Amino acid sequence: MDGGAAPPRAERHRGPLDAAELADAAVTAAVVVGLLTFGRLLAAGTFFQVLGTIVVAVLSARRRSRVVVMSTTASMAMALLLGGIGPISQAFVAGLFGWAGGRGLARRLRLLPHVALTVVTAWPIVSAATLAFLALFSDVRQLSFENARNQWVGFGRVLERIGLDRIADDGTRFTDWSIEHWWLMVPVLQLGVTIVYGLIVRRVGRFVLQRVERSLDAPWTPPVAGAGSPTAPAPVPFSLDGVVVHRRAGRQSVPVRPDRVDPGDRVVVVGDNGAGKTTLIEAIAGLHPVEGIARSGRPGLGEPGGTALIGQAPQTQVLGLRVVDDLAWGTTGIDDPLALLRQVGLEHLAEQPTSRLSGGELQRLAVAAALARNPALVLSDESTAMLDPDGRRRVLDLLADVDAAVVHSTHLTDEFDRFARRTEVGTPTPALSPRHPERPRGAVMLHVSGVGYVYDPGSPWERRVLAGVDLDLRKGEVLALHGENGSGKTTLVRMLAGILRPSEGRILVDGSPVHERTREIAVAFQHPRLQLLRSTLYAEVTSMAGTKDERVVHGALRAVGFDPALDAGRRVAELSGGQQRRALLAGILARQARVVVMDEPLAGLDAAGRDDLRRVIDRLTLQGTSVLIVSHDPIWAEREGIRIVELSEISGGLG
Amino acid sequence: MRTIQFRHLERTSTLHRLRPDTKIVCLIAVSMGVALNLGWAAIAAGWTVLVGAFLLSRLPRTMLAPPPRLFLLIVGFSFMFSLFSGGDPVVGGIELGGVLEFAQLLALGLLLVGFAALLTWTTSLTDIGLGLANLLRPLRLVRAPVDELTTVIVLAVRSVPEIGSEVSAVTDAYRTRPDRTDRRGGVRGALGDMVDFSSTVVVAAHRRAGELGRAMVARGSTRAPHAPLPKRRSADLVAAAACLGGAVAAFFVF
Repeated sequence: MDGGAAPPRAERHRGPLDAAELADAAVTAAVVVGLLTFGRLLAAGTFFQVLGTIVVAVLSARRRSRVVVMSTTASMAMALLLGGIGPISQAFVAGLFGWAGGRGLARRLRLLPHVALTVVTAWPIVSAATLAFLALFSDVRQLSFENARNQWVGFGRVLERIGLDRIADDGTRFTDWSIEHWWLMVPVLQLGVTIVYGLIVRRVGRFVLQRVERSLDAPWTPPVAGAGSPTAPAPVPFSLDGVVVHRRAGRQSVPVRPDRVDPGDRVVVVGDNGAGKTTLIEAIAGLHPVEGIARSGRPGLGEPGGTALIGQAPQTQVLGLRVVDDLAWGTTGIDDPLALLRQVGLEHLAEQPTSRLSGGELQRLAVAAALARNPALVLSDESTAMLDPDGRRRVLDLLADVDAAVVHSTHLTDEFDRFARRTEVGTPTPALSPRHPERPRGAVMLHVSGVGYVYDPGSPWERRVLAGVDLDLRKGEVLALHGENGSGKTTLVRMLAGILRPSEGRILVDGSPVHERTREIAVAFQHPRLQLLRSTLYAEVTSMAGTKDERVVHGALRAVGFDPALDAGRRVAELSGGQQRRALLAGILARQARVVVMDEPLAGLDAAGRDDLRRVIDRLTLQGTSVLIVSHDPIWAEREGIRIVELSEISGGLG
Repeated sequence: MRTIQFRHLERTSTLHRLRPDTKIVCLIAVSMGVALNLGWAAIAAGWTVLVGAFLLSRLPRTMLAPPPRLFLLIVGFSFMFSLFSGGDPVVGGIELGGVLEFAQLLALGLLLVGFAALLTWTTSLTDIGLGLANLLRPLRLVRAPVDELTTVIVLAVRSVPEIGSEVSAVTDAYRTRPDRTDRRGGVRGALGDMVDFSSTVVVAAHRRAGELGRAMVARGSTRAPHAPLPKRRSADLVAAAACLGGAVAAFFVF
């Protein structure tokens, strides 16, 4: 990896941060603050401070210094909340050494030059900052130094008792000398710290940066529509014919039939995951240079009378801290924000923090932000994929009523008939006809009785989420546990995984308490991407399975459609979203657990993904494994002929 | 074991109703006032303010759970060594100098953490973000890049809950892996874990950043709009005047 090509960096430019830089700076600040919080909770401050440094180093290797400065200033401001000067200085240290280390990583320096660069750039700053702080707060300095001396003298008394007078005396002399020459000793100590940080960032950060670069595209700077443009935007009508999108990664042709969208049209774009729906929507929005889209004028993304874009993940659609603030983002004074909120059914939440909104409410707020611009064209990129059935229905109702042309992409077949016209991207995988294999039933494998959970018992934050849950799962049985959002599903899954101990009741796997038998219960949480931790596919499956038995691992890889000979060495970072999902399923299969728990396994799955999942479930039951599926969407389980249990019905006594 | 926590707790009280920027100003003023005029008198004054504010906040006494064990252990040892070190004054044949100095440092440290804790308990993260943004606004006059910084803070505050749940999802995935047959122990193993952990977290965070960036472009603006706080009430003015005045007075009194 030494001597490889320098990592791609954003094109050099000056001036204020652009959209992508602002977002990178913000999430990095949030991660650093999050890590420092974790560190304080787990009393492992230094370890998490080092992790924070590496996170900043990745930012610094990919972005210019101004981005790092903004990010670090923001994390220091937020650290105010974590307990004053301690966390603020931790955020500063992480930012400074991360910035210096990132410069070295970006240049692909060898170990010694890397450390030297860190020393030359960061050491003067950290020394000067510390000296300035100590000079300003001279009372605190004197008190702290006096205490340090007392500690040593007291410790020296213990040493004298065991006959180590020399060490005690020398130590006291050294301490006195150091305190007297603190302006010299502080930089010397900081030099040591700087070197250690340089070493760690180089040893660890380099591999992290490599994986990040394999997983993500090169830093991309999306163009913000020109508000000062002389012409009014005119996104519709437009026509599609032989669409080729030019992205940084290269040209990508989108397999879509020729079509034309006129004002007021209702078009649904359908296609499997990875077929190119998002690319097409982004191209229509004008985010990428494109051939084969003929429009009447500028798309005018985000401008009044132009194009409005609603994306997939509810949490990242909404930018403001309160509902009204979000609506104001990018608009110059809305006449009647409350009327707009009433239209999407959110007027009662106007002053509420957006962090309290559900996924469906967030997406409705995103629709309101779109409507605030009186757009001529509304693009919706899988905006319903992450929502529960009720949230989905309400967003679709809103899209149906919009006074503009609407192009909505989805992989959910039941949404098709809500739209007048359908355009297909790629060739959809035909859904397999349902079959209901006779699943063997045997002894009780998972026994849950009287289980409840209370968060923070005895504190003012005390909150009960589950009470008296009873559930039996037999050998080879498949059970779908249905519960609304907020019903405690995730808490139950974490208890089944042995991460949380139930506040009351028992969870037995094959007759033993679950936390003693974690080997026997495999859990697939939501978001496969957050559960893949190793660098290659083979290492991932081995680690998840806890076995190096090649027969088992290869069998599992084959079962989910990988070719062990070709794919075993593939890098996890380079797998597509669908492949990552299959990698997770392979790990679950190879684990050969007695019980498998899956949390929302269908979120965002297309027809092909559902077939994969069905095959894996069949295979698991054939080998006698019991499967518990936890989901907010019971409809698919009905189709599969799987027994459904309502969480609210087995969780009694919750007042 | 239950331990002290730093999380917002919703209640209605004078302290909860104060504007977040007022509380931030007070926190900084009182902390600086004590730290720059250190002595038993200043510390006593600071603790009086802290206890008074805690009573005003009408927070339940159950907030004050014991601190983490590791902290108690460190404090215990420090106390012991301070006692051994001796020094004036001598009371009942025991030299208390070291202990008193340690007590002063501990009182100062706990005071500063106490003020920050009070801010956290009475103010939501959202309000902190709004408060910081409002405090930074005047700096526009000296042409500091305040709009940029405010946008970063707003987006960061917005991302904290989600990023937090992503970090805990990665932690969960780690904890449910079976015996780590594939990993050597020792330093190499620890460094390997560090790479795995931070890569997964950083990739997730940067993907989120990509979506946030796209959402900003879709809104046609990369600047967080000015988010006005509710009007200042007399309580805000009294609190800010008292804290700032007290901090300035401390220079003359102590």
